[in-house]
Amino acid sequence: MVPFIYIGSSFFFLFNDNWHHIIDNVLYNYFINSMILSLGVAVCTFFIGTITAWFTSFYNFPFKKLISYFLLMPLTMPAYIIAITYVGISDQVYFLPDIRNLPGAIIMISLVLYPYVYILARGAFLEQSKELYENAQILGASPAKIFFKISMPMAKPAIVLGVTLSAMEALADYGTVEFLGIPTFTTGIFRTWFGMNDAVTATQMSGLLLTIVFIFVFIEQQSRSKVRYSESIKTQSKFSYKTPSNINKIIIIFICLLPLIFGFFIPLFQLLYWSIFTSTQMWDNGFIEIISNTIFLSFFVALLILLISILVTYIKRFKPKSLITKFMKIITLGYAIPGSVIAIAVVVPFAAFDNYINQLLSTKFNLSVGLVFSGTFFTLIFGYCIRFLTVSSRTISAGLDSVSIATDEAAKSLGVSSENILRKIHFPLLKTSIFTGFLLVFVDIVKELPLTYVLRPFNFNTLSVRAFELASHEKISDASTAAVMIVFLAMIPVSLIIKNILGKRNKL
Amino acid sequence: MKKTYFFLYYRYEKIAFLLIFIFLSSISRANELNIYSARSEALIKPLLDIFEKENGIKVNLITGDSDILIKRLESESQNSPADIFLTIDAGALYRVKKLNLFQEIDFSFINKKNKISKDYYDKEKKWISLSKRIRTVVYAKNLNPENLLKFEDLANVEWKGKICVRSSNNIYNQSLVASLISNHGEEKAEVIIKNIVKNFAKKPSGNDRAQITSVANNECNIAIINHYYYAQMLNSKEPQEREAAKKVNITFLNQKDRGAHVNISGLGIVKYSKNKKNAYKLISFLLREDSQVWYANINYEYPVIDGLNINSLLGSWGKISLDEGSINNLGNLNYKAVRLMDRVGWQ
Repeated sequence: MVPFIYIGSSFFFLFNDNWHHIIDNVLYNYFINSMILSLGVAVCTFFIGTITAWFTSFYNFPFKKLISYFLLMPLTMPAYIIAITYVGISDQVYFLPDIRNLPGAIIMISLVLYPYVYILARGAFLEQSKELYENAQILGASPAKIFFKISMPMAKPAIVLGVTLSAMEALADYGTVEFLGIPTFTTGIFRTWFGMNDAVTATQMSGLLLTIVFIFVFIEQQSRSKVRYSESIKTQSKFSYKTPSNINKIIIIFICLLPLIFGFFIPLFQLLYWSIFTSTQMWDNGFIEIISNTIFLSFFVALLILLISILVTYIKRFKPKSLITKFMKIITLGYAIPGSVIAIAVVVPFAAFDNYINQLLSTKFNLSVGLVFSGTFFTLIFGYCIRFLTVSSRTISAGLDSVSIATDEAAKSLGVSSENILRKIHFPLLKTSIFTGFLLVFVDIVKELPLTYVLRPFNFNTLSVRAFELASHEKISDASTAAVMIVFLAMIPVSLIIKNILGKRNKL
Repeated sequence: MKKTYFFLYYRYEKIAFLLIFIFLSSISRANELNIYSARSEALIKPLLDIFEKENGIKVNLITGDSDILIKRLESESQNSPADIFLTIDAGALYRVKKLNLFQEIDFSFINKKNKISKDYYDKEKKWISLSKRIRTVVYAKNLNPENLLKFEDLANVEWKGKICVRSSNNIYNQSLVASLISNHGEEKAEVIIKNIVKNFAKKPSGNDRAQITSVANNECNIAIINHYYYAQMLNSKEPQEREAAKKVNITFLNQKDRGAHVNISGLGIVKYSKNKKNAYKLISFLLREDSQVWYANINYEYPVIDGLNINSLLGSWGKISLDEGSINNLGNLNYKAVRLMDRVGWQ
């Protein structure tokens, strides 16, 4: 809560002269660019994610398993890395269009974010029962009609969630737009903060950004709460895939391969090519330490965030009117605030608190303890929680939403205890969502940059910090080894995610 | 419901444990030196490792964006663990000074041999420079540089659609414009920058290396860059980078008048430093001849100590006249520079 109060409180300061300057010269531009960027990413990720999920869920074609596995892989690429890589490629290959513009940024960001939509849509499609389709077919519905009238509405909460997450992340993006030279709200915030040295106006701008996000999320939640789809029929029968004609098979494979090739293989091979020149000098003891730092940090923080999000999801289900539920609505906005803004909003209040403790101890006991929270793992983990609680808690609550409350009530009326409802009904049904939530956060932390960069303690580095620092010397080839390691490391949880979902599919 | 409360209870216990751990780990140790550095790890850690070994002082380093580190220093105030703030831009040093977070450096503690000229430290001795970075232009080899002698020449109609430069979010450009304001005043500087923006070949994007590549690819004829990026590309391990750099020439502007625009990397001792002695040891070490030459060899920056035997490439460019008078003004003019660039539409 604290960081949000900090950002919100900035509105109580007077709007100074810089606001007039910003409104007169640049605000319109920031606003339009940010809106186009986030809507563009929403549209692109929606189409790429839903279409690929649809094909891989319902059709039979060669290499289907492999393709559906690899479709998630772009998730392992940090957006700014893919942008730098493509600029590097387009500088060497003349016929490629310049991507240093708004459409370029939309494509770059969508290429690495569509897996959010894909994974959630696919999960939702796979959970839909076979009987429904068969009944629809018997009643003479065309495949298109089944898609639009049955599959889509039922998968809507999941798809909307994926699209919203992507749009929010695009809104919070700093690295990519900064590198591609697009003035947006986030670059504007930093320009005001550092260039004009005006923290108040910059925080007020963050507040404005937060308000916009709030409106988005409000609309999304409204659209979700109107209808509640819960599955009532679960069967063990094997689902029958449709087998399209050969030409259609080729078209399907082609469509599914496009995002995969552009979002994963091309940048990965370019990075590998660069790392040939530099990897020998990058591999030392320090590098191994950095890799293990990254693994431990990501794993334990993802676990912690998972526990917290299970807790709040259940509080939300059982006590929808409690104060915590309301707080959570605000905290989950964290996903759309630029990481560096969260970082500052964590640093400042904690340092103030530490200073207060010191003052208290020195006057009462003549004792000085220095900084207690600031500059420790505590603030870093705190920052991660704010930023990534959304990802896991929403994944879990999307899963929980599909378990109807009627199920709970039925179980209760049969005298099953609350604990057993959780253990015997919810947990088996939610296993996929919980595991997916955990892995998504894990991947996010491996890739995360601004929070780690600002909040990490002395002498502690992660892969993304190393990659960023080397890339900031304007040598992507130096950064390539660390970037490739990020991708490889992130591939582990991503593989598990897809295995989780595929495995579920095979059992059906 | 029981389950829910169990979770809550479990969490409190964990947090309590964490708190104790943090409390214990925050008790500081002696004979240390804590550095907040905006210079990235790769470009400072090797030197610090040598210092650590020579003096037996444990150096703790955290790197980050200079403005965010400043914010951290400011909010931690007298409890900050930082002893040294090290950065790569005169403007950032000015900001720390303005926030009254630096203490005066007593030059008598620094080895007399390492003498730097007075433009390279703060007037009130709150910070000192460690290395020099020159911002200038490279141009396509087929271009005649006769009409390209001063930075102001870039405003001529002759260069319409020919200039490449990165975004104005970048501190190098902000300092460059600040130096122009320092020399000409705001009004005249605005006219010059306005005309330069009109000559841009494309919307500013990418970094300095990308600008050099753009010249090599004939997308523009002139690129505004920091000298060391060109030097690094010439000596790159990648054939493409070397090829691109070979297609352009570097020239240093304003050699007949105020000198080329120069920025510095430097440091100051944090006001509430608890390891002052070690801080002075580090400053003496970083100004020592071998450390100074290191900057030139690793990153192609110029040392702040004159008359050193630097690497052959920098040596081959000869003695360059520099706009040293502006260094002390870059920080306080940064704000005006950013607003000026907003007004003339330099994205």
